[in-house]
Parts: sequence; structure tokens; C-alpha cells
Amino acid sequence: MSIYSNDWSVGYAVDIVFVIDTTGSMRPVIDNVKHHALNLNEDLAMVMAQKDKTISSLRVRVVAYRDYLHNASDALRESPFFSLPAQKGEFDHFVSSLYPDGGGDEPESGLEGLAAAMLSPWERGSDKRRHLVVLFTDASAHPIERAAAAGLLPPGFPSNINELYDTWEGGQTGGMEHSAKRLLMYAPDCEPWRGISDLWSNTLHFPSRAGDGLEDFTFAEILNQIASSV
Amino acid sequence: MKLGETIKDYKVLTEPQSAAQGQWALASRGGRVYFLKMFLSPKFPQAGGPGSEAIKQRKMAECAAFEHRNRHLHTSINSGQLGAGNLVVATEFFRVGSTYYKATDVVVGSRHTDLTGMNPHQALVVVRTMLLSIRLLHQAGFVHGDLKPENIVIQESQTGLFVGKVIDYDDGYIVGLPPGRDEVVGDQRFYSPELMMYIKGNPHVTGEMLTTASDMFALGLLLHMLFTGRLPHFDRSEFSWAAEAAIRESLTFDGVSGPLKAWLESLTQIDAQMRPLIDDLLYFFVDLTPDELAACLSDARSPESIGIRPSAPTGITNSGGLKGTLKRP
Repeated sequence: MSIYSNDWSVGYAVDIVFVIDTTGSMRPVIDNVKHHALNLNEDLAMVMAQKDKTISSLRVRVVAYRDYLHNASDALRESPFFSLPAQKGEFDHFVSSLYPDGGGDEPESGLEGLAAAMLSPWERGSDKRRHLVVLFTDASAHPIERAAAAGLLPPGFPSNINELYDTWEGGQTGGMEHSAKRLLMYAPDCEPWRGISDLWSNTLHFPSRAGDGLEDFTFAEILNQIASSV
Repeated sequence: MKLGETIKDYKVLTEPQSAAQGQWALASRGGRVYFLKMFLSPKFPQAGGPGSEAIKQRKMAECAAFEHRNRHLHTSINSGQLGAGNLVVATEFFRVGSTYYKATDVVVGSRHTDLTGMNPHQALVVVRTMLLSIRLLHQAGFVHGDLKPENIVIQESQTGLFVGKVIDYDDGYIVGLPPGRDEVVGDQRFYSPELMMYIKGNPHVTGEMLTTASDMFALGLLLHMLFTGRLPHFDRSEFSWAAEAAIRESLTFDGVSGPLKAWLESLTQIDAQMRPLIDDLLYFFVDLTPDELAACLSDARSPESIGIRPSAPTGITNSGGLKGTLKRP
């Protein structure tokens, strides 16, 4: 049949952005991510295969955050997207450079980290896409308005919770596709994570006990959730 | 959704399980246990909640369409019709705050996840009950859109007798009115060629072309998987999905033979208009005897030896329903 004569395969591109709180108490999670980074592609492919799913391209990126209000100079560190498995060495190198430190008071800059993830240069070209943000934190978050009012945020960042919500839900500043986006939050059962889980679409919250460093979750469980979301 | 949480008047009894489109758990209400599904999207904007007015208005419209589709689906199905009991319909569809939920009766699967461990009589009953349920959806003008083994629960109805329960058609759509190509969900393993082309944005494939025939393609693959425990053969190094192989006429139903093979081939032909309708397929399985099915599943006996035509089925049309009275399975 002529309509099927050319270009008949369907590509499925998955972009994952890991948003990681790298303040002092997060050492176990950071160590866990470091430990699994090098084999992430293979591990994920294995879990995906168990679920009879395959993807045609996988890119990962890391957004590491601390606290703008404590020390703006090391509050946000972002990697580019790495294509896996081709760039797994570079991905591993970036992840290896993360270390837990600082943070000041208990709320951290998780919303700013989330904003940076949403503004990622997401894949738009493949036939099917998944834009997945996976957040790890053991703390609540400052209102994004505070760092914005202090003039600390990078240009183009949402400056209040309304703009952040609009960015997620597909406002003009959002680069995420409405149907492609998913947010998995490994975060304490407190605000703002509870409210985000309740009000934002395509969002799942896996609550941990604040201060426990997310030790409740194994990397295998997290990989399984990622595969379920893809 | 959290273990122990009460949502409306449903108490969540189990740790919620996640899927791409939602979470589900067992929940109790009034002494009965239900499956409770939480939808991840859409979310109803809340008064005083975050967001610009423009985004809230867009989300309100999205929610209105979602509610209309769900309510229309559940009011369109004739629950008094033969087979309705095996289509797992929502007992309640509701919203709490921003989040939508659906409750259904609990469907407890048996030890069987396919038909490979069953005798032919048992297998036929499962297939017939499954097809009756899909027929209800098609008669209501709905495409299931996600037919796959995981959405067919094989339940023991009485000792030694099993039925095929059809679940999870939340992402179904009205014939010819699928979601936008970026919004389509489902399992790529069971995509039809036209669905695949629609997702790719092929200008020759419009939403109007996505009909119950897309389900029939999926059924061809699904039946092979149920009978044999695997998809029909195609070269995995060349094709990712069965639909791609079908387009290149490289799909081989190597686990079955005789008329069953011919029907599955007919169901998966790339011309959607030529595929059998659900009534046609149901009629075939109503007429098929356990011995004939056994012959189709065994290479030891050729179909000719039991008088079954081995070639593509003739007289399959997509234009009519059952001409005779449907026999109760």
C-alpha cells in the first residue's frame, strides 16, 4: 500500500533529567547515582525489556542544586544532555564530579532545580517522546519568589510559582511537551512537593521521611519507576 | 494516592502501583473492595491554585473533554447485553480536588496469563468471552486502543472454567476521533500500521482512519500471543514492532495453523478496510470446535485432515454483523 511505502519505522526518544539535591545530607543518594551512572543505559534497557518496551534513543542530563539563598555561586550546576550509550563516559565523569556539601538551612532550592530541568533542550524530533524529570531531595524548598526577588536566578527562569506551573503545564516558556512530560519526585511528604503532586499533571510523588536521605528507595525501585513511566 | 489514605469514601488498602498513565491500588468502600485508579492527567485547576488564567482555561477545557469522554463511554455500553459482565466497566468515575479517579470491581486473575496451559474448550471460552466484551465496545462506537495481554484478565468463573475479562480502556476513543498524534497512548507492540503512521504524522493517515479495525489488528497479534505465549515471528533485527513487519509483509503466524492462522493473517492485513469485524471473528470462534482448535495449535495434524480450509478465510466481510443467532459460549 503506497501510504506505507517509505519511512515506516517509529522512533521513541526518551530524555531523562535527574534533578539532584547535592546538599550535605544527600551523600547516600549521590553515591547511589554515581554507582549506577556508568551502567544506566544497560540497566534501564534490561528493566525495559522485562516490560517489553524498547526505546530508540536515550539522553540523560543532570541538574544538581543546593541553596541560592545560602550560596548562589554553587547553587546550580547543569550538565548537557548525554546520549547513551555513546556518551556514557562523559555522563559518568559529570556524575562523578558531584559531591554533597553545604545547603545552609533546611529548605533548599529544589524549585529552581525543577525549573532548570523543565527548561532543558528537550528532544522534539522523534515520532514518540518522553520527557522525564526525576527529582531527588530530602528537604522542602524555598519559594522560588525569594531567589527571584534577590535577583539570583538565571535569565529566563520562572520568577514565581504561577510561572513555574505554567512552564510545566505548557505555557509559552515551556519546552516540554504536554503529553510527553512526567515528573517523578523522591521527596519528603511536605510542601512544595505535596502541592505539586496534587495540582500538577503527570506527576508522581514517592514520599520519603525528611532527613533520611531517601534511603528508603533502592536504585532498582527507582529504575523500575522510570521504566514504568516510559 | 497513598497506602492508608481515604479518597472520597475509598480507603486505599495496598501500596499503589504506577503505570505510565496513572496509579492503581485496591481500596475498600462499604465493605467491598474495588480497584481504584488515579489518573495522572488531566488535573482540574483549583480556585486559588497556581497558574495563569490562560493555562487554567485550557486545562478546564481539557478536563471537560476528559469527563465527557469517560461518561459517554460508560453510558454507551449496554450493560444488559450478552457478555457485558466480562467488560470491566467503571462503577464510579469521580474527581477529588484536582485529581480524577475511577473505581471498578476487582478482577482477580487466575494462574493463567495466557491460554497455553488450557485445554481447547477452556481456551475457546476465554476467547469468546473476551471477544464479546470487545464487541460491546465496538458496538458502542469505541476503539479500545490498548488491547494487549496485560489488559485481558483470565478469571476462573467456576471450577475449571475461565473467562476473559477486558480491562483498562480508559485511553479508548470514539471511532474516527482519536487523541492528537502526540497524545495517543497504548502499547507499541500492538499498534496497527495506520496508528503507527498517524503517530508519525503521515499526511495520508488522518484520525478518521483510526477505527475499530485498529483494534482488530491488535487482536490478531494478541490472539497469537494468548494461544502461543509469544507474538508472531518477525525479524527483530529489522523491525522493532509487529506493525512495521506487517507493512513489509514479514509477519509470520508460525505458532498456529489452518483456519486460525488464516484468520490472524486476515486480521493483520495492512488494509484496515479489509480486516474482519469483531462479529465476524466472534462468529468464527463460536463455530470453531475444541478439536478444530486443537488441530490449529498442533503441527502434528494438518488442517486438511480434519476438513478445515487451510488457506485464507473466504467470505470474511467487514460490512455486516452476525447473520445467525449468536450461540452462547
